[in-house]
Amino acid sequence: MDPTSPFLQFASPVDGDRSSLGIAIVGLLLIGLAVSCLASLAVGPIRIPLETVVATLSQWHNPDQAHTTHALVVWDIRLPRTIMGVLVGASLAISGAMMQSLFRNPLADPGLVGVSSGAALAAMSVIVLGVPAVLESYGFDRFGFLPLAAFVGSLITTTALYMISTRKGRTSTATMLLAGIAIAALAGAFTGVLVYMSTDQQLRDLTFWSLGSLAGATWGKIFAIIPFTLPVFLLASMVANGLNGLLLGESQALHIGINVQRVKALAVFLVALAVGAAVSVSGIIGFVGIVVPHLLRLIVGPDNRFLLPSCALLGASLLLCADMVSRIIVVPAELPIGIVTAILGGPFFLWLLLRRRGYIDV
Amino acid sequence: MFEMHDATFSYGDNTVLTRFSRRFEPGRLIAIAGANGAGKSTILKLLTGELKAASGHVLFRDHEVGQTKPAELAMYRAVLPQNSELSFPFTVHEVAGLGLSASGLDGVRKKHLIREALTSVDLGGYQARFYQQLSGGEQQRVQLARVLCQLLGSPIAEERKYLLLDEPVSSLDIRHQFETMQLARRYAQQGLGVIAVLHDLNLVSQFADEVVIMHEGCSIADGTPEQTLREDVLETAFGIRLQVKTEPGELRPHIMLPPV
Repeated sequence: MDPTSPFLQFASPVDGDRSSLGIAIVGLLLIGLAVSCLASLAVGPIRIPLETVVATLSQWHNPDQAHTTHALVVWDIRLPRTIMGVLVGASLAISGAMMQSLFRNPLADPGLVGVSSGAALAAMSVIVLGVPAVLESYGFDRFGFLPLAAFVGSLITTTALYMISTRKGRTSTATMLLAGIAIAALAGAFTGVLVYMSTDQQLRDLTFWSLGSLAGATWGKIFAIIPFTLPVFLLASMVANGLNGLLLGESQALHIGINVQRVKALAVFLVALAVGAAVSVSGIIGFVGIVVPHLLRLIVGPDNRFLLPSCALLGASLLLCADMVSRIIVVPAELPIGIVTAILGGPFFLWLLLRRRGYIDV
Repeated sequence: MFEMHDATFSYGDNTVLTRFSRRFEPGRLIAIAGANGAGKSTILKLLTGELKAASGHVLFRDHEVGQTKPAELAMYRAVLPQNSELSFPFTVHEVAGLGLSASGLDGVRKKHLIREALTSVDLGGYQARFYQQLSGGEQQRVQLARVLCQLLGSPIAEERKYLLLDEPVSSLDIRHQFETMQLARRYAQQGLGVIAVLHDLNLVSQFADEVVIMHEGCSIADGTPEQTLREDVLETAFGIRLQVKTEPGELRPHIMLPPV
């Protein structure tokens, strides 16, 4: 392959070992995330100086401060929104990176291949059709049930997609993208049916889902998705090595001692958890899952042991930045964040296609 | 030790291996030769556990290969595949290091093993290059280095390890073909079992301790190169009359194409 191939990297140490670089990047991104979080608490229609933000947070145990406007904005609006942004951004980026390793394909992204649509369809069904009576009797309310429904929706679509596009351990890019289009179209058709059936109030909720937004963040939603996101962040390190092996192909992964079936099942499960959680509270936010892993692969390389944690951190920071843009660009209104990420991510994706033209046909 | 007893395998109605039985002893370089579709790679894939025999047994250390944990098998045997594609930009160092994924090795020892493996396949100094930017032959040697890393990183004694090679020299130039076969023979002399599917009959003749000639899913000759590389056997196996000559004072025959 010629030296102008799409694999040129930003940097590679002389010994070809990027593991110390990977650890350094994770450290840097951790600092970056802390800065983004503080900025996200300060920025918005009401500007709160950083020292006030820090003072408010450090007084968390003091009940008297709850009466100031700044404290109310920080505790009840900005902090849940920031935490949700972190959880959603990290979930989207890490699920993109995992899917790309699982499918051995840099274009596999939950938003792009219909997994998010499947999750959104399941969530919308709950909004329009309500929680099944059986589950309601077990104490599930609508917000508690949404993440579970979205998880089931993304689990079904991810599994179907993998079964359709992978034959004898090899994934065809064309089949995967076409199957993704078909799944998204099918989900779109059923969404249309739901829109037709829905009341005015439900229609507003559905629109929110299809555009993607962090605006509805509440502590309740955060607690509802934590059981879904936490296992993803904790178990990602368990599949990292296995996913690295899978990048060699399924048979070679078996040869080097990877339990291929278990790694695949766990990866599909974690992707579904992450996408389900993200979609259930914020709707479809595209391109985070493809842009973030791609950028980081240029620096730390494709080794999932460093790629997955750095994706989680950068995804969270990037989504917080996009959310800040969506909050201040059309004050006093708000632009749905899905529009912001699409405007930034769309051109990036086209550039990626142009750069990789020829290679994708393989 | 690897053993196959009456192993049969078919793709649908097409039987590619019929009641194949053999023991693969360690410390030998065992070559499997034969025409395309004769069942050579099937034997290798049954030994690795990638395929499961429809009937019969494939045993490693007296246990069915199919029921042995992948991580345990990986400590005892490494496999070089026919071709390997990588969709992501790994460096040569990182590809070779993938052979150590299951070993848990890290740090200085890992780096040292990778450098040793790369040097032994004549790729010292290539660590920082990107895999996709190498030629096909260089990529094949990087994969061989990955396989060697897997063996070097395993704590098992040499005499109990195996190296399975599926057409290891198919994209290599003649010098690297020679060097790779010498490497394989050196490993066999150290006590490893080496099982290689090979197309070049002269390499088979010069390097193998034992040769299995396959034809339509059955073994039609099995033994030393001089016992198996005979004109009549090769005619059955390949459907072409090759000339087999042995120089005076030599044991290993040379195989030549018929006059054009």
